[in-house]
Amino acid sequence: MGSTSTKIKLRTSDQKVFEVEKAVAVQSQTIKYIYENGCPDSVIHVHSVSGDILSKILDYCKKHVNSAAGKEDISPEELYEWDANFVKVDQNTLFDLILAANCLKIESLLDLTCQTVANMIKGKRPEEIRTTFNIKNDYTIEAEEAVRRENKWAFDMLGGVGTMVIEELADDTMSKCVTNAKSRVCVIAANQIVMMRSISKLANKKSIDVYKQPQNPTTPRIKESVKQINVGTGFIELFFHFKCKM
Amino acid sequence: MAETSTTTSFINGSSSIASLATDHLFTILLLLPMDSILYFAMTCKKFRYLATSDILWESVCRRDWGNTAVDALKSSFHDDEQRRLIPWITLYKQVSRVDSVCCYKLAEPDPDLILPVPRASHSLNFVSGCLVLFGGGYEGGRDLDDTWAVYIGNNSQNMLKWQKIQTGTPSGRFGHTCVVIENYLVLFGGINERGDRHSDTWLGQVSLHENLGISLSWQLLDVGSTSPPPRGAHAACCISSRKMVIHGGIGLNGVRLDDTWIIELSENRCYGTWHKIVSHPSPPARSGHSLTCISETQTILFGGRGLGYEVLNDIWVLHVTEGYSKWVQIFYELQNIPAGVSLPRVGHSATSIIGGRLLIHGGEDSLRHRKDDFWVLDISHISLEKMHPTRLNSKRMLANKWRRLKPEGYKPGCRSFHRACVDDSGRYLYVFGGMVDGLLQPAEPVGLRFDGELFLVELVLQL
Repeated sequence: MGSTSTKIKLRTSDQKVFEVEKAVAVQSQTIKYIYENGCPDSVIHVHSVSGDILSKILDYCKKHVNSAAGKEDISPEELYEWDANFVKVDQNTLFDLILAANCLKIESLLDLTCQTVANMIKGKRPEEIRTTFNIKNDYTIEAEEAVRRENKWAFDMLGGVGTMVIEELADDTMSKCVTNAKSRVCVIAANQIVMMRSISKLANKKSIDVYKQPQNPTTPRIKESVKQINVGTGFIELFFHFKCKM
Repeated sequence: MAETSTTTSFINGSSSIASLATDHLFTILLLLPMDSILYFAMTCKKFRYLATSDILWESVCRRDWGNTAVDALKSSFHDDEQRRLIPWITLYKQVSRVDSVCCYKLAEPDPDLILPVPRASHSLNFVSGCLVLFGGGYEGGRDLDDTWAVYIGNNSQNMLKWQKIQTGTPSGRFGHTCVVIENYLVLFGGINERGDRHSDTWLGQVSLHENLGISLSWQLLDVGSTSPPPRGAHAACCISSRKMVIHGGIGLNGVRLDDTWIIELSENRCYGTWHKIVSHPSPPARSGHSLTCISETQTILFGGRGLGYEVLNDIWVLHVTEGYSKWVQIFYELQNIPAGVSLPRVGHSATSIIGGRLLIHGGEDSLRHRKDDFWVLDISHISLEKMHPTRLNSKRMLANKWRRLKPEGYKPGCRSFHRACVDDSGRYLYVFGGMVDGLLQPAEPVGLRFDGELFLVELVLQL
């Protein structure tokens, strides 16, 4: 019984002390190494991590240890959801978590936080990325145009026939799909086929009629409205108001 | 759903992402599709410098093409001063933009040379640096049982000399499949002269000798009591270092099948275990279709002839992870693709080329017109891997890339039921045999004949 409730003391950069179970603390390879190679009774200093961040990290480690050991009845899907909520923090905290996860060598947390940042970049155009991360645009108009032309090959490849799948949605939620401005699009939502007209004709419209194929082929097709259209350079964002339960 | 994570950080007016170490930035960028990396590079000068760095892009190439193809490219540029200095981002661009192929005829007819007889529905594989050919149907019958091999190594354009390895084992057949798992050949099924369908599995291993040339040993694989029903004209491909998947084909009584089976080889490769995959929905029954593995978890099924004898053009992806397999259909519209009406086909070849794409060649349509075209199918923007298994039907950008390639050089004739395989570089395709259009005789309709030529298809990179 004694070994399972061994506690380790951790002192952070701002002099806060945390006492945690060994099983939780050694999720960090760094702490594990120090513990196994040093004096087990003394306090371990985690110099580069603040109290707030360490507190969050210990929450993460505890959740994962308990889930793996079966102490908590939590399914993989629930753990996945918990992780997703864990990283819903402001950017400063997120980047601090990356630094700390790297320094403490907690691989799964590093993967999670890096994937979170990647998700914040994915699907966005440069202007949106700048807004998200408060990046200052230091290009001149000419330079920016030159870079865009240089990379044109990659974005051209995304043109052509586009077929989009929209998430299976709960009733009345908004969904977004982004498509290349040149293509004619056939949209599929939850195995229903939604036909759309040529995208090039959409640019001037305020709303578009989207026809949804119901699951039962004998019922007539439903007309849905696209609530909002944003036209950008080479792309159009369409916001659908979908009632998916048929 | 509108993203909740687009919180901005205006503390001190500075960006915390700027303080991220380069290593971490590269880790994050490597999780992104290529276009997102470039959009990120367009945000500011510093990120352009980092996000277009050669180190990062070599990793992107390795991620998207695999280590084998990248190493093959590196070694082929080894002696070429100019090409060695081409940045990886440029190479990535040129590989992505491949829009033409150049064909070369190989194996000049030499009176002294004994060549494999012209045939179709045989098997052709690239393994251990050699091309290996087995069986097929020919002018005189349907059950060739000869094994031929020719060493290629890295010299793709030398005139090649076929070597007859052996005959008799495995027994004669056509419409069988043969795939390469690591450096083993795994042969399954097929139909013999009398029309019997087979369900035996054979393992072949190539050895290269200094003086004796190539030798190959075929062995019947012990699969225990469970094996798929006998069939021919099915599709198969290798999906991991120990597994092969098969689908459909023509079974007993000429009925087209729609079952999916996976065999897993034991560690010592002495026996295999078959099990059937159950997934709904799954591709309808068919024969003469193709199965091609494009990534660790994704295998593409295309075309074939269905139950009603119609020629198909549907695309299905089999997503296989530990203990979980699922078929997902990829929808697209023929009329949106230039020359798309020619896409339904059977008896085509579909090989995985560099960049995780499919190169489809030849085959015939519902009117039995044979094709000589080259198509590339690119579904790399579907990131099924990163999806949590229960969300496989979730949102994804499907940018189906059907691209027809311009053929240059030698013009191979229209053909179907030929076989093709690609070498380690992923840029050179070897094609052998098939049924081709015959010569017009005044008194006869356009006939067909078996072809026996070997030709090479090179993906042209503009470097």
